Amino acid sequence: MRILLLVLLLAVALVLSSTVLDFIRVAGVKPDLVLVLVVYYAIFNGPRGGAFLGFLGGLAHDFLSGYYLGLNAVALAAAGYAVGLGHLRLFKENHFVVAGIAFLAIILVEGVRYLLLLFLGVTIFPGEVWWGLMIPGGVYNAAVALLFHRRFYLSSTRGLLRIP
Amino acid sequence: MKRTRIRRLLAAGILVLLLFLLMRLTGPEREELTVLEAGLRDGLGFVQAGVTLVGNQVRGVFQRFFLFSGDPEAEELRRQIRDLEGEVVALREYQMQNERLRELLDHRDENSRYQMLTADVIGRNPSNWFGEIKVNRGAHHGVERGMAVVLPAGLVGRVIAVAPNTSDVLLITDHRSGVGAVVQEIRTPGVVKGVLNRTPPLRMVYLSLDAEVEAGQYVVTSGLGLVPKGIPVGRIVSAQKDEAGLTQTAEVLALVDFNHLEEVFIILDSVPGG
Repeated sequence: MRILLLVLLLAVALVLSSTVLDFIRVAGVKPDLVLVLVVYYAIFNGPRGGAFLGFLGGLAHDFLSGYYLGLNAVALAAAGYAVGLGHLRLFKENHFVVAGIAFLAIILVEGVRYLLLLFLGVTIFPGEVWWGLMIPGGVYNAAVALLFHRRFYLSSTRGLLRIP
Repeated sequence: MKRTRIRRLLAAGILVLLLFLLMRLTGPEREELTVLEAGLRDGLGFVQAGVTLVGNQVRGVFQRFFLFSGDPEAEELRRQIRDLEGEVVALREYQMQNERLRELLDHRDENSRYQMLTADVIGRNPSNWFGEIKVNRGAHHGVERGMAVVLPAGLVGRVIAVAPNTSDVLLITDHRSGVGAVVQEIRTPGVVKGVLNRTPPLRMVYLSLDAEVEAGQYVVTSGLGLVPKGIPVGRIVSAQKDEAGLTQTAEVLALVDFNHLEEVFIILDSVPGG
């Protein structure tokens, strides 16, 4: 049931990202719902679970994009693993801690994507990535993480997403 | 314990290496999609079309009741202004072309020969990195890779991948896009490139240093490459010398509103034999 719910959440996040989220772009960016989901999950389930969900979500993201298959799988798995490393030390009940982690996770994910795109021969000015993607994306996703944290926290501790 | 750890690390390393290889093999520069990719795109296209349709309706309701992104009437008027601005630039381009060609006594009005196909936008690339849209027309409707995609307001992009019933369009705002263009008033050539998440989202590079490029001038396609000549692209906001001092670069505001694309036109005869 828990796995099914996670897969369903990933699917909804991806379909929304590829359709209607463009209508709520702020400063040129739209929220990365898959990453927010991976951050929530990694905080409660540790590095292995975080990396696994990141890999799964990233791979689905890659298939939906249709190009550079593996780019998002590697980036999101790395973010899931990194966030998961702190799952025993972090005060996950606090909304602002989670928002801060979402901000840092975006910086990490976009950094990995940038390096992988460089490896693939796609060159972009680092300043454009920093000011055009990382900072606005980090702030936007931190706000989104703040918005849904309570619901996810309750579900992970007492609800359907609780580890049996 | 240690051996298990080493095995896991090795497996992860091999997986990452395989993914690196896959990334290399699946870039957008490929001429054709594999059967699996084409099938997957068409399959997902149905889901995306449904969600986009619902999303458009929800947006309409929000705009009507909560003035979510402005009064619908005002938005419609803004859209009309953009379309008319594009038409004015296109007409001015026809007029200038007419005068030039009449002088040469060799008038061939190529623009009237465009064969257009209407397509609905059914999806977008989920990432913030890439400016791509998916449309509900594909190889079965005569679409081919490289075809130009336009709106009355101006150039939208070009087709980069074709499945039987859907196609992917690379927007001119994508940082991988480059379109041959000229500044309409002074006929100075350059290349219009996309900029990552910036306003204005376009940059015209390689402009001659002695050209009198000014804010307010319009940019149209030059006809070099597969995009037909004379299609409006944008309006110059500012221009400055490059760091090396050899050319100029202009910031260009696109005439098309890329955040609200719902339908587009594919120019079927923009590729040879199309």
